[in-house]
Amino acid sequence: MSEAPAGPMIEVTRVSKRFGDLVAVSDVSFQLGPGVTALLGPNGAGKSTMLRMLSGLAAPSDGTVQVLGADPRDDIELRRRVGMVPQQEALFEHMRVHEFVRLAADLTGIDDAGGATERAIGTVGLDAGDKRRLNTYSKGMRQRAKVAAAIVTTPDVLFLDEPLTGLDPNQRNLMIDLFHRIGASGRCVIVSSHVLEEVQRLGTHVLVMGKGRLLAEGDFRRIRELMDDRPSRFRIVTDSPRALAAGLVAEGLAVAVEIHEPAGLTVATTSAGRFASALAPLARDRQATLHELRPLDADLESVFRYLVEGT
Amino acid sequence: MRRSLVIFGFMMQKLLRGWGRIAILVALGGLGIVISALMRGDIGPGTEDGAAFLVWYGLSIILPLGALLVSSEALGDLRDERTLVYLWLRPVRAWEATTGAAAAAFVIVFAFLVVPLIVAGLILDWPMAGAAALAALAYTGVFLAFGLILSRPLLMGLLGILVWENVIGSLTTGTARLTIRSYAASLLVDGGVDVGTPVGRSFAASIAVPLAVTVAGLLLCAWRWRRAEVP
Repeated sequence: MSEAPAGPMIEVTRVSKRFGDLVAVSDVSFQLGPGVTALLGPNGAGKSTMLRMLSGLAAPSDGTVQVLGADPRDDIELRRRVGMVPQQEALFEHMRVHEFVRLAADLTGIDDAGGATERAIGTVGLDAGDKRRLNTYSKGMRQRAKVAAAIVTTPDVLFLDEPLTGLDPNQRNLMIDLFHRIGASGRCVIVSSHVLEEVQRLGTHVLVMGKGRLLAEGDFRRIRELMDDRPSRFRIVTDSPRALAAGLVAEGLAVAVEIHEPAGLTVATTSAGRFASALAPLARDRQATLHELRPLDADLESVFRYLVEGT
Repeated sequence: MRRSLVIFGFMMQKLLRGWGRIAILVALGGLGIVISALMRGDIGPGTEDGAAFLVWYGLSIILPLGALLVSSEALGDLRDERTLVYLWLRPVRAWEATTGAAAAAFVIVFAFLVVPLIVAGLILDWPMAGAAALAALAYTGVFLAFGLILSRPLLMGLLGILVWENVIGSLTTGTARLTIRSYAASLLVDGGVDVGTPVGRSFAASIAVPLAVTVAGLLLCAWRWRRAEVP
């Protein structure tokens, strides 16, 4: 990896992007270091616009974008260290995959472009010797060709706009493993997606966007904890649900309790930390045996629903 | 320079694929040779009518048309197909992209149109090489920029050829100064020869103006490459 500046690898400061009257991105700020970050949001949230500004394809209307300490729009040399998988499906249809990836290597001017091309194509599970042209490739193969072209230069920063679209489950696993390996090697990887299941597998660090705004950033479990205006819900399996429910309410540990006879209850609490530490002693006092304790809304989907949909 | 060569190779591969465009270019160039041969049989070599045909068919019709067909699609196609991003995301400087694409477009226009026009000139006994090459260069520069700047470069280019080069350029000597063909034609014939467009520019102007138009087109293209948002 090339030497990175001392600060964050990516620094976005109060960035907005307008297209006429349409505000695609509004006053977004964040900093990112090495590792995989998932950029999550529904269609139209501003994810692609954000990635386009990060890669220099589009200029912010306001604010500044710094990648590895440089402006991605103006610093040509920075492009040696940045890879991007754009969202569009279009490729150079007349080319073979080897030619397509080799073009990226040659234009970047890397050493051993031929060897790097073969390695990159092999890494994404395609055949470097394939004589078919790209216009005969399936959607999944085209996606992987784009990823190969983006990683052939072993970039320090990698932007991937919906890279898992069109991939079958095996290919998705291959790609997700690849992104994790790249992130683990000290590089910065940002993967956008509107599919929660994908994002959850990409890691816990997320940027959540909605309607052009950055709604949350960080570990999605931590984000959930910080949403203290939203009660956390837990499912408990116990042999004495009524006794335990009464104790939880009496101790002020639950704002709502729903009993599912004969052995279950659902608890809503606004102080998840205190609830977790007090539950076992309380069960002991009430002579209730705990068989299972399971959070019902600590997953990414709940966080996303709360943040984006407000439900 | 190395990246310009990579872009050049890529563009040659892109522009020469498919038969449609090449067939049109071959037909336009071949037709010029055939007509020239027929004209020579009728009017003989070195005549004013022969020069007028070369200026009209060569400099006013097929060179701008062919250059438009090739140059506007060099970078313009990539923008419309949304594949420009794969070149732009690489550390390619604007002048490297522009000169690489322009060189490929010019080589194709030269091979398929300028060479046939030189042959046609030999048949009619007029030295077409300088005039055709300079006009091809200027049209290539202008239409390369059209491709990257205008949303309908082919249509706008056709309008440009029709209105600018053929109507405005034929009105008066003053307006002819605004056309490429007038300067290129001045390299072919002296001021006293009637070729349907005012000629008689100085030798220096006949060379300098098409070259300046070429450079202006390339600069515009490079500026657009650097500043425009990439789809």
